[in-house]
Amino acid sequence: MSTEAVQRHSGPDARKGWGIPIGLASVLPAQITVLFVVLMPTLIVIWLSLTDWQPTAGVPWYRAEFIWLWNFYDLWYDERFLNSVVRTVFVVAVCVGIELLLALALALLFLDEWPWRKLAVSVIILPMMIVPVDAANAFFMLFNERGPINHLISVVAGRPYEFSWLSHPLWALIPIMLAEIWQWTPLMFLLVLTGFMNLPENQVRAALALGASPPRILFRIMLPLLLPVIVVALLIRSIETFKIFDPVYILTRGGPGAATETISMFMYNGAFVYFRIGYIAAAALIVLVLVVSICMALARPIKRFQG
Amino acid sequence: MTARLELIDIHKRFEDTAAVNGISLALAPGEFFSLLGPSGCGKSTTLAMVAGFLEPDGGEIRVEGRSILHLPPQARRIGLVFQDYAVFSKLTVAENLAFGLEVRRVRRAERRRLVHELAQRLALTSILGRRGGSLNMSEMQRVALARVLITNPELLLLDEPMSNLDAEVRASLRGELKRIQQDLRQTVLYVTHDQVEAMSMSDRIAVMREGAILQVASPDEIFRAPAHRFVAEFIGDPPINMLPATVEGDGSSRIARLPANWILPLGPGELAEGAYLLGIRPHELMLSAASGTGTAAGIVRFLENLGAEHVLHVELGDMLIRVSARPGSARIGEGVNLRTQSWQGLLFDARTGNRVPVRALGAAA
Amino acid sequence: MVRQTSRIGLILRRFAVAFAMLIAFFPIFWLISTSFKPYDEWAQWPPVWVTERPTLQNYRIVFAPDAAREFAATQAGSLDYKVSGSAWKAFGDSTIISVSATILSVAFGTLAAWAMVRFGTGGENYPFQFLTVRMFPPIAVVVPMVVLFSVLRMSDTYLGLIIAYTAFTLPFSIWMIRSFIEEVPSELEGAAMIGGMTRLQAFRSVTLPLVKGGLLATALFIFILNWSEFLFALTLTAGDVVTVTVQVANYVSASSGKLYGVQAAMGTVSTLPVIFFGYVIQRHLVRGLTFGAIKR
Repeated sequence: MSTEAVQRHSGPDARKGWGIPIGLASVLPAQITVLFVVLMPTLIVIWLSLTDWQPTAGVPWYRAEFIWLWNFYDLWYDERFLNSVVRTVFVVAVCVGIELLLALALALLFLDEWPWRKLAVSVIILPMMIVPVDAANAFFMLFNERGPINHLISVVAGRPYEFSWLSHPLWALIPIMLAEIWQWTPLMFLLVLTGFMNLPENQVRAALALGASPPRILFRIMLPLLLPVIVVALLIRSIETFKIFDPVYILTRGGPGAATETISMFMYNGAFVYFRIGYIAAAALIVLVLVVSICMALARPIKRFQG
Repeated sequence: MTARLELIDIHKRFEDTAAVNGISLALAPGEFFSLLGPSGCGKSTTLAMVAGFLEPDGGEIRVEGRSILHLPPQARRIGLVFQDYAVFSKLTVAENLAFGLEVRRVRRAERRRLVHELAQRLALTSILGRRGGSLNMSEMQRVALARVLITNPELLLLDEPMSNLDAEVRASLRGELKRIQQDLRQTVLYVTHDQVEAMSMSDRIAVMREGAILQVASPDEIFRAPAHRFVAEFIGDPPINMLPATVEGDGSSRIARLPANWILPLGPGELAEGAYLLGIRPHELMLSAASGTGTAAGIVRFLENLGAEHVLHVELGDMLIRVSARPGSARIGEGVNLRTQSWQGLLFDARTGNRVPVRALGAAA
Repeated sequence: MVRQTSRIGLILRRFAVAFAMLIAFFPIFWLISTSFKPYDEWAQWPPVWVTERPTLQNYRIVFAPDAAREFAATQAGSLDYKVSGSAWKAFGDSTIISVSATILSVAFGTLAAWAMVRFGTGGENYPFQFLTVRMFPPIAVVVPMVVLFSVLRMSDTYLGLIIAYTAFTLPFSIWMIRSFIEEVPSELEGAAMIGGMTRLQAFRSVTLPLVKGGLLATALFIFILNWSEFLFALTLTAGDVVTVTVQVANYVSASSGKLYGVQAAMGTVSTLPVIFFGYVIQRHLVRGLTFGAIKR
């Protein structure tokens, strides 16, 4: 991320009438909003995670039974939870990896100028403009047993193919991941393309003049120069994909059974289908700690890398 | 390695402007040759055609007598150094140097040997492990040079390699570049708009304007005997004075009548009476204690202090004339007398701008 | 940059681009195509790719409760058709919530970004604190927020969603606007202050006009995020407030996915404004989605 030096101009005049520094006064609305929506819930979630509160039990949340760390103990042995974690990591790795490869391949097609280039870029980034729920909706129809995907397979295979993708425990994850990849490869593409366009052009020319072949130029010169952009893109997409919910909810709701449950879907089902709020709060806490610590671990090397 | 380069009647048009309009050049092996001219004169276009990034509309380019026009850039044995040096910033210096060899599938051991050999000659040994992005300008210049030299090019092309630099760095890099070139006896085609660079490093210079070459000559000759008023005005710092002159008389009593009743006697030469432009460099003028024939009276209007000398701007009639003078010899507002001092006798046709050969008869003579 | 040499290679490259365009467009084509299909073609096998009998019935069902009732009574008798209310309500609610949250987010974000850039408020790492908000999986925050909102009587209200949206888009607005303000030299404000303005006046009359375009782009970008948001809308509402995304989900799940035509019609209309705004700010998309890290 941008690490430009912050300009400082605070002086004795940087104060408002009632004595709060104007800088502090200016960040206050944003800060309070974030505290309200992040800090308060985090405190509540810590309390809830130590209880077995269920809204259906008729006890208010602040009077719920305190069960110490039993929720965490149960989670540790809850295969459904652990599977959802592993599945989410799998989905992140596969989706983000494929997105990056596709984006790189696509961007390489756009390095020179040609008449309908702008139009082509506009069409290719269309998916990322769509409301995610609608994109998932479209994939829901595409992968229906009587949808066009099965139709295409039938035509190619030469016999009727009416596979029910979304109710198969193994294959149901495919449409979900495809929807995710379809929607977000354009973003990766746009980032990588921007990176390519900002490369120092003369280094490429110099390599060319030295007689290097296009693949060598790509791998030895361009990709190393592109690395910072790729890291930013991977990071942003990984964080976003880790939260994946919309396509799972629309396409399978985590089913069949729990075959496509990601972390977000597991927690949604736990809290809003089974109403095990205390238990899910514990899971939420684990995820929060996990995410924050991963990000903090990554922040330093990335900042150094970017600088 | 070193080779002969010939350009024969090269033409290149962009849309409806002629960027290069029929230029012919021949570079001797080992020669440091500069293309000098203002931006838009076609010098970079010429270089791009030699490098193979542009195709000429007409003409012929030969290296060692063989045409290279049909070859793509990478097949021409040409080393190209860019304006920004384009050192591969993510590769180490050693990797930068080895890049061209890797491409040519030179064996690893051989690569190492060549890299170390060249690094030694260009004083790069101590920075071989550093990344291209962390180098200073002098190091980048040497890496950029070494990177192309290691591939043993027949010809080295340099495209304004110093235009992004501070004056101070530029001065030291000029010396360095010339030393390396002489050391390796490399044929160099150097493109620049900076007359100081061209003058200080070149064996010969081609001064270009509007796609055509006005003069090809050694720096000395370019300065002493410019073929065209444009060349005279482009070369020299402080710049030459151009005065309208009327030539009168004939034979031995020929004179040039200049503004402010200044009259200069001229030597013999084929010269018709009429209007000319007379070029006098600031160093060819001096302040004279006495007034009289051959001198002109004027008033000092500005003064440029260059430290070792002052450049006086002397008002002469309705013109300002630059005169180099010792510090302290005149003050602003002071009236002075000017006379020539070892004047070269540059006289240009007022219409065509071409120089008219005439022997000078300085006031001292 | 890299020069193309072979003619066949060039043709293959253009062909690959065309193929990518086709893939990118196909799901949207299917959505639009299905939205015009009459009832009996929704689930036909083999599927109808482009209907020969286009109808607006699906859109009528989405927008007019009468048409929906009639449809439920006559044709969808066997289907489990439960979706009530017209899409107008969803569009209205989404507009109110998205616009309000966008205005708040951009206003708060502008102030905060200005303070960070000009005063270095909070120190060098302060902006990162806001980024962490974006790293939280919203579902982890949703669970306690449901509890919190029920205590504050904010569940199933506009206000609840507006606050949630504002908070979760603040990282974008702060970082994006920060990158715009950084492009305005602080000397300009300094000059205005020497001319007798206060800091705030200098900001308002010098910097703000210069970043106006950037603020507009940020606002549209955040509007898109708000309009597209689903998880908060799903969990923090219970029927009084309905956003377009919730309405879409209702159609998809109402009948275990047999209402294809209606789903497609709702999907098409709900995503149109976002696509439009998306192309308006296409130039700024990269900056937005990378929190200003990568500019054009």
